[in-house]
Amino acid sequence: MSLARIRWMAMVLGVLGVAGVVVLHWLVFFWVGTERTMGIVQRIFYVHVPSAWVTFLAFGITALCGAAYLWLRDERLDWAAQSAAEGGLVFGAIMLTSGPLWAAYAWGTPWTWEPRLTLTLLMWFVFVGYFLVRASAEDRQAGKRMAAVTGVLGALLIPLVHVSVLWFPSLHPQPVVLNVEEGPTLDADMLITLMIGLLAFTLIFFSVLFFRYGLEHLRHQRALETREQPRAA
Amino acid sequence: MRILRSRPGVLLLSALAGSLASAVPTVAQVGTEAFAQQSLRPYWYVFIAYSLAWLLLVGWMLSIGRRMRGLEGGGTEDRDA
Repeated sequence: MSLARIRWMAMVLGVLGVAGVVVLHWLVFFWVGTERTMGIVQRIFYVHVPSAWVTFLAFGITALCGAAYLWLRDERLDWAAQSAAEGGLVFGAIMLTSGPLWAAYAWGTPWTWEPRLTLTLLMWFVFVGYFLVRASAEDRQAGKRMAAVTGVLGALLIPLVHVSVLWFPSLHPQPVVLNVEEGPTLDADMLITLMIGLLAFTLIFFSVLFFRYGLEHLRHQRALETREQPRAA
Repeated sequence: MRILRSRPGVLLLSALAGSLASAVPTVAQVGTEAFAQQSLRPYWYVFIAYSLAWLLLVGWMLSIGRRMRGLEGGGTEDRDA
């Protein structure tokens, strides 16, 4: 895929994502009802849950592309894995800041070392390690392989994070959408707002992912032009 | 103050202004009388959560743009994160 095509796709997804975000803000602040128990602060939910979804999606892509890279040794898979991991860290940071802000009001404390929060933080740090491993390896190719393994191992935490609230019920709310027994337990207006949020965040993520992938593409082109080995991290 | 006049600065200020503006209709939705009787604390939490989210996203995009400009400007490498 050419750089121009990558950028075009990123732009299209970006425009759709920004439109989705505008609609999301309108829904969150003008349309959706205020939750009875928690009040206004519950609106953090519409940025916290989509960012959590995108974090898992990004780390999942990192693991899949990393595993495929270990098998096929195609540099493009490594570019995609690296780009997704960076996105996962950004959206993970959004999740890990918005959650405690809600908790500070709802629970009276921003953080408790309960299973879901602890596992999520651990997963985020594993993906910080993904970049540390790449950067610290003297042999770049070995660094890429070790990072791919780190990504695959880190993504094993995704299902654990999801089921942790079911296996170890604690302060963190139970799933309200992916509820196997009862189905979505949210009010219709809240569910619609959440779905728009999930869509908008996903579009924004893929838009920036394409731009980030384009950066690796460009770096590779420059390295070829200067007849150097590509030094993509 | 130069940073505030630069393109990234304008983008960041716009994101902050957007978050601030988004809090206004929420206040309106609750109603003036009810609003006057309750604490402003939850509004601040919502404002900070949304501001942080968009600042982090805008920051990531600016970081990619800066690295890309570095490469397009003739550099061969600028180490990424």
